[in-house]
Amino acid sequence: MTTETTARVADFVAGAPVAPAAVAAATVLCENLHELEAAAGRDQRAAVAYWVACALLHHAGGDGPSVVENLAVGLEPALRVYDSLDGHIEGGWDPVCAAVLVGSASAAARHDGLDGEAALRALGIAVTQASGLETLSGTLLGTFQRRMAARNGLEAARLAGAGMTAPATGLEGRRGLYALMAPTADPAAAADRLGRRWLVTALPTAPGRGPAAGRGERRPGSLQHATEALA
Amino acid sequence: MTTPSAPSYEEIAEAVLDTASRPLPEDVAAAARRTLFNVLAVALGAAESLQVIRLAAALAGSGIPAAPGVRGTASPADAALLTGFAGHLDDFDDTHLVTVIHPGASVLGAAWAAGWTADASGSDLLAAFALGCEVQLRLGLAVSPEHYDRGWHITGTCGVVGAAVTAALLGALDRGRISAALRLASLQTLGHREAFGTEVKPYHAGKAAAGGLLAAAEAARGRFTADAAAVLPDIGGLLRALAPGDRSPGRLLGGFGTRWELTDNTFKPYPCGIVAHPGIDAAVRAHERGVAAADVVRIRYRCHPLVPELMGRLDPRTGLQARFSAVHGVAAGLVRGTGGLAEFSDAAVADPALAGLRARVELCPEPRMPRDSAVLEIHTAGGGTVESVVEHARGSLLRPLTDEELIAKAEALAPGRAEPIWDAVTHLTRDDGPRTIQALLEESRRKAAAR
Repeated sequence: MTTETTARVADFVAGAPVAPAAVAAATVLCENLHELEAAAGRDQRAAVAYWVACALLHHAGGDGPSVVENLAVGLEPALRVYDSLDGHIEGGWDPVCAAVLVGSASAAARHDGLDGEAALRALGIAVTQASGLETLSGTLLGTFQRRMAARNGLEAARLAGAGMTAPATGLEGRRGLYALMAPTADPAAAADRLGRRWLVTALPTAPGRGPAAGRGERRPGSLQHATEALA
Repeated sequence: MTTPSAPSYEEIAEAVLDTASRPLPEDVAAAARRTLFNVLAVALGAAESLQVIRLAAALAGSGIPAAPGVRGTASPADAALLTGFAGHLDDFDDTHLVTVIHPGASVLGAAWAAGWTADASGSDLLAAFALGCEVQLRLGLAVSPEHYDRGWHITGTCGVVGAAVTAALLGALDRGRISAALRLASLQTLGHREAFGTEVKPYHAGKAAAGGLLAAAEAARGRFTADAAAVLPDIGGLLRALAPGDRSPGRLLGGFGTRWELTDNTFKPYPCGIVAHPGIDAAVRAHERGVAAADVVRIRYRCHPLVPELMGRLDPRTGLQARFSAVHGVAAGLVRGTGGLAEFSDAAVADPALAGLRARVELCPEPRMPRDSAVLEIHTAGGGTVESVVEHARGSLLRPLTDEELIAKAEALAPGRAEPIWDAVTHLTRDDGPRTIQALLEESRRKAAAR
């Protein structure tokens, strides 16, 4: 049901098992942040993935197995939010910022072990901060607004973990993200087939889908890269 | 991309600097002092609330004093966040009625944090505070009424730009860096009305303060400024996002420095959404006329249509939710004869007398009812009807709170501190007056202790 979209996302964030293929894809993303950053200049979905990955690596302080699993969890609702907003935005807002907020908050909520109720609050705190202008994509100001979205998503998870109350219908509510930024878009798409279809496996950097380096060609410095991107 | 008639960020910065270079007109200085005094008292009153204590713990870190009345320290951005949050938590602050902006909280947060390290005089502080309010109110005017009507919480979306002005002025930024700060603030707007009734609503004000502070800090360092003027020359892009259908860019700078929106700021007598205040007034009057809640069968609450839109919660479960329940406000006014913080606490929400009466209040919106008016038709068990009419609510533009009423409000929020804080705010513009809000509070604390 449309009215349960944010709650469905939160339930997914808090407890969904992650498919091995999604873990593999997220692992490659973490290992190839430089390539992902380059792809982000051409592909807005890659931009979503890049900033969510930077946020989580910075937050977690590493890129171990649980981190890449949490990244996969964060990317799924983020990519769905981007896909469903794209083409429906009214007024010129940046859909990437909105998606990064959702992804960053979701990944951090999973990393921090928030339960479904707390993850729901994290999403409520995050999405109310969606901002930025789409025309700035590819500029320094565009970098600024997406960096802020990544940071604000992390903060949302932290404050939700501390107990801050938040709306339960941040995405689909009458005065929520979709109603205000993209009234013709379908909020239910943000939770469509979560846990059954893994969008991270279709990103350009996923195994077998593009020129990205494989696991054996790991480049050092992803954590440093992420930290510098967020600083 | 430029937008016809939308001012460039440099033009806005120029107007701000030009106005800041002159003394505030006396009526504007008075409005700024009243706004600062009021929101500071509200923040102090919230300092020991569960919500502020919890947020202060989450944000604790090395840096500057965390917030008015709050022990501990935080980073400047987090201190701005906490201060703005505290200033708006109880919905007891201020309202610019045309835009529905609560301008004080976000600007207080920016002034609290930026002022701590600034080499500014008390006059500079008051001017920076006034101009932060003024710019956000004018931005609000430029996108009103569409922006708020669509569902945005205008206090957050416009507050961040105002907070950037305050922080930039206290940081003594030049024209180029102020325009850079305004650009960065424009990309950090926030606030959906979906959050009303939760802590995210005051978070909007706090985060606006933090965003404005951060924008000024990044601009001062020269970060993210290369090519910024070329890719975002004017504020038209933001105006279009805030109000895609209808906007008035000319209202941003038309008469800037001459006609002040800040002088139309009003102060809340009740800690809840302002559209419900006429109904509370009417209920208090009925209480004073001897209407007993136990005799009430039904109340028809004839109100402006915004009352059910913004204050439509019929069965609040918490004090925070009660702040968005017009029927709760009427019940409190009639049962208790007042509408203070105690009437909007969790305990009051659970009070069977209030809960019982809430269920008997019917919201009856009337398109022609003025926003500051209300009529209660109170039907009693004996078959009679009592009508309680309020033409202009307390605290409205036509019936503003006097200085004495403001001081009395502050005294209830910060017992023993109101008069000393009022004196300290009044002395801001004296050469030997306080130069920061922290110093202002310290001066008032000493005076209160000496009394």
